[in-house]
Amino acid sequence: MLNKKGFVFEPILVIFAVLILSTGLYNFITNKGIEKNLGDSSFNIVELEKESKLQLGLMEQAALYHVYNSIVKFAENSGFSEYQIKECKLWDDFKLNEKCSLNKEKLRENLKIYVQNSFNEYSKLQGLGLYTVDVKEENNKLIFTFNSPNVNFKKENVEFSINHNFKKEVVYDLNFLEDLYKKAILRPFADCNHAKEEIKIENLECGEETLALSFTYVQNKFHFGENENSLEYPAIPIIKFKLSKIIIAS
Amino acid sequence: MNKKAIWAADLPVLIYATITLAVFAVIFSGVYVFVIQTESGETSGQIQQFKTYELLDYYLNTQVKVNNKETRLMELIPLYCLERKPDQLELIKKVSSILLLPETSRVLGCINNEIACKDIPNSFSSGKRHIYTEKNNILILSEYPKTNLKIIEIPGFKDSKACLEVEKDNYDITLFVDSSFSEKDFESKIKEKSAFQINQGKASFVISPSKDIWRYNNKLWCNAITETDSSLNCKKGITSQELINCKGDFELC
Repeated sequence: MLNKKGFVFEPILVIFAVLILSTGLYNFITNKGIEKNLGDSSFNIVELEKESKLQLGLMEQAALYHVYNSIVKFAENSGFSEYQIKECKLWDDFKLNEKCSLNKEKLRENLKIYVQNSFNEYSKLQGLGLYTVDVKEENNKLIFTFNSPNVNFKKENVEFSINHNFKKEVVYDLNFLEDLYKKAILRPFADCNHAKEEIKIENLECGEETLALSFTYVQNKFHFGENENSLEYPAIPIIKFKLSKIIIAS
Repeated sequence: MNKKAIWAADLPVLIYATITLAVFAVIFSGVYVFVIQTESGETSGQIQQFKTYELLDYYLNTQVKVNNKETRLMELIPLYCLERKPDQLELIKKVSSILLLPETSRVLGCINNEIACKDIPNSFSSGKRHIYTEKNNILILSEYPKTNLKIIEIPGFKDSKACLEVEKDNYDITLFVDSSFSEKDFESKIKEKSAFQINQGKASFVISPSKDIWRYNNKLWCNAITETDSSLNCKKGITSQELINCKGDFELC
């Protein structure tokens, strides 16, 4: 038979045991050790993967705008590069300065540099790596390939880098610009009427300046989507160029 | 000792042991249930966070037809930020209200080279937001006080981009508007919605293969962009058969 002291000690003993064991159990299941970190890492990996997909999708969307804006700037600068435009003001300046000459290769290269510089400026602001741009022609289309071998994404203890490669196809015919250039530099012109008769391109606008003839040609509008049923892009490429005028002594 | 004697001596011990075990079982089960519930709460929160990306993709990239042109908010938003035409803003608001649940907080801000997304104050309680709204034309499409926000920069033009703020939770991706990519799929969705009289909520909308958004309301189908009032109820409409016959192309209906 248990005595009275025995009846008091035993429940206290049980309470202590329950307290100690349940605290142990709680600590065991809520262990924030390696298992928890492993779980966090997987979540971070999945979240980072989704974040990177979103960011890269936005980059690819932005690339289209950079291509269009670069073409607009390229056409406005007569097809000259930003380096050439400092020295070359007229299409026939190549007669005085070899660096001012243009041909199909140079036009394509100049456009490529415009796109690459513009897109990399944006990419840097987004905290992503630099891209190399390549351009190919296919009928009346230009295919721009963007490539960055090392786009880094980081979140807490997770970091990965991917090779980001994508293409943007736009309807723009570089042959037209080359054709216009070849016709325009063939011979010097005395005035706008003379120039328009010789160049023979419809809707080519010409204005006379003191020493030069100034031309503008409004090209087709761009579209956001692949077909003409999509929204029109707000900027239109306008080819602007100047030619020296024959000064006839009176 | 006989067997009865053994039981007689150990009976109090047995009773105590059983009571103790029962107490242990109850307390341990309680601790276990409490911990598991807390952990699963954290997990579902994280999963919900992943769904933010699905929401953004759906919201920005769902193709719709407006003013006879196929577009998506990824294009409409930067265009508005560049041109600032009021009709573009109305269109963004309408498409947003169709695609998202009204309680999904979303704030859209136009930014330029001087203002970045991070410069837009995201404290809803501060007065800064109000000042910003007046100065920089931030468009509050639907604002509910939230702190768990995801902010992204929508690419745009050189001097005009947009920031979009959405909350990271409190939406259900099963409530996205149905898109149909084939005539057959479109027909079956129209028949299903009209047969079950689904004329409430996101399920009453469907995007046709021509990208027109249709709403089923008052036993009629109407174009959700041009033929609805501010509450997105149909002002006029056509029957399900007429809609099927014209294949959901608003120009042909």
